[in-house]
Amino acid sequence: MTVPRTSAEAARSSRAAALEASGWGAPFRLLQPRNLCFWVYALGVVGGIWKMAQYYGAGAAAYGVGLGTGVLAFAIYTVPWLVLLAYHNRYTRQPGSLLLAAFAWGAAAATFWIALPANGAFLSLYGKAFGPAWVNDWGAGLTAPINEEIGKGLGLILLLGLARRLVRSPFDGLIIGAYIGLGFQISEDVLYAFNNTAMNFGADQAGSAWQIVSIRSASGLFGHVLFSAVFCSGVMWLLGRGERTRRLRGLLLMLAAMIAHGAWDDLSALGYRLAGNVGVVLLWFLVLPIADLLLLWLAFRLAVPQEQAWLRAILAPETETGLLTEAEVTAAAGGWRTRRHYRKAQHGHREKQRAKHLLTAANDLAEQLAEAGGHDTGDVEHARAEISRLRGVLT
Amino acid sequence: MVMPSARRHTARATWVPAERRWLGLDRRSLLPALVVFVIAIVLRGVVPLIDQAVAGHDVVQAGERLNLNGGLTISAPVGWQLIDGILVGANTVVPGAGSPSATLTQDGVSAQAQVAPFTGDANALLDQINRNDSRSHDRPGYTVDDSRGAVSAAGGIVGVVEDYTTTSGEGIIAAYALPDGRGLVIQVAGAGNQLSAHTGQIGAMLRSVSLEARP
Repeated sequence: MTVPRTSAEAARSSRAAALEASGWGAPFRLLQPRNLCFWVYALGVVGGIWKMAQYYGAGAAAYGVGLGTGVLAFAIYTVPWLVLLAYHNRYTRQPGSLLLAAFAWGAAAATFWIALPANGAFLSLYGKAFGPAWVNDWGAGLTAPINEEIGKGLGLILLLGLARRLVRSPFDGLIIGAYIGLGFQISEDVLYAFNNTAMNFGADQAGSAWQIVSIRSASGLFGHVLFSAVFCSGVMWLLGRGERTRRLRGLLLMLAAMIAHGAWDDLSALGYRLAGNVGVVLLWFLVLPIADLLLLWLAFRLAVPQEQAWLRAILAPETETGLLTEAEVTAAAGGWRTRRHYRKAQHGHREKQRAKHLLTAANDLAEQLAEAGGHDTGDVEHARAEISRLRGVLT
Repeated sequence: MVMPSARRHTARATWVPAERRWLGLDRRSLLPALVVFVIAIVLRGVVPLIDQAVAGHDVVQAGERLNLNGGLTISAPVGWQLIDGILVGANTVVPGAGSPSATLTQDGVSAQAQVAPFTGDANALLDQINRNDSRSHDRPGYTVDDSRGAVSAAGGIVGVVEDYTTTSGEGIIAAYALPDGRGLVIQVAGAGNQLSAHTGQIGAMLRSVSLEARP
């Protein structure tokens, strides 16, 4: 016999299930001596830092100005990326410590511990098999997507092993992948600034580094952050971490990210082969940026519904008490279009402002509920009181 | 004796239960960690070993020249292995494409050519390279022998050349300031006896620098 439940009980049960399934609010601790993933992670990051120190240490005295310029410029360049990624790290938000660990893997392990030695060996083998001219045309595009995407993806696997409760969905893979990619991209950018300084004989070092800063800042918009986000969301689908197991979808997303990466690396040869110099320009400024954004949009659209459903389920019980309306829960758990639509539906500037603040406060409440494991703690009550205050003050 | 009843036990997420351990490690962590470790070792260790074991770089044939872009070419020593760089007439997607750098090796001797924008003269370029190399940890004990001389190449291009020694070997550096605003540096390194065995070929390479005027 089934026990009939009230809608409030059903909503609370759905909230508990969503919190359990998403793992939102679970703590993350990197230092886990009983977890072998921690030791492999530490080996990769320490190995990468060691290799990095060797690489830069040899020429730092000669090319220090170029290296310093690259480090400073790309540190500043990282800030808007962090703001952008923090905005997208919403719904069942990943903790900063986990994302910092992801960034560190990308910056040190994936770059210097894996990609640098592997890329050199791949290119050398290609040269022996097909000759230097072929390598010059096609080598990069058939090397970096393999070593670098896999190298970055390995970081996600380790973080999965270190944060089983937290890393649960393809959207988690997308966000963590973006942070791994950002670490990789910034580290690679600094490396290129250093290399360009050395290749320009160490003369006008700041100019050599700035040359790379200007080129890579623009091309970075369609670079490792995007590739890794798509690749790592694919890894999560492949591993059956979506709502349903979709291994083919996962494989296709991973493959698409690698093809996108390879197309950029072989842009000149590919564009020229397709349509001469016009082909290069078209690929560079039109085809690849559009294709990459479409790919990211697709990966995002496939991954985000699960997260939105979890957030809706977490906030839904608040409609039973009248704290939030159905429309507010839908908007708070929705994308930016849904939120904007809700705000625009209000009449007058004050109401629109109130709607904006209420949605933020609703998301705060969801976060406090996640931190409290769904229980009514003091912080949760405070978050509820904030919503009531906003209604009182602004009506 | 009656033990007091235990309080309700709640599993901690960060606690690894005794029955789930192997050599003190969480069994659930073994598979992902080992998969990552094996893939990483294959990429960063095994593939480079395969590369070292495989011979087969292209060998320079008589009359072949390296294309260093913008009409700049140098004659590559016959019989040397071309590690990096593009030969004139190579089958590239963009016809006539070259590369601003090239690396050749033979019998433990390596030669590297690098082209980049440079506004000074050949002496200034060589001074710049000496400053870099004397500060580089890759070349401990870097010392030039103060025997700087001129090297005449084709088309009136005159470079300067100097010998140097390090704690691990010796080498030759030649620098050229090209009329199109670029600089060319050729560095040859190896042990003393190896270098001297190839003196003729190295000298011919340094004199072979040629810049064709481009429309």
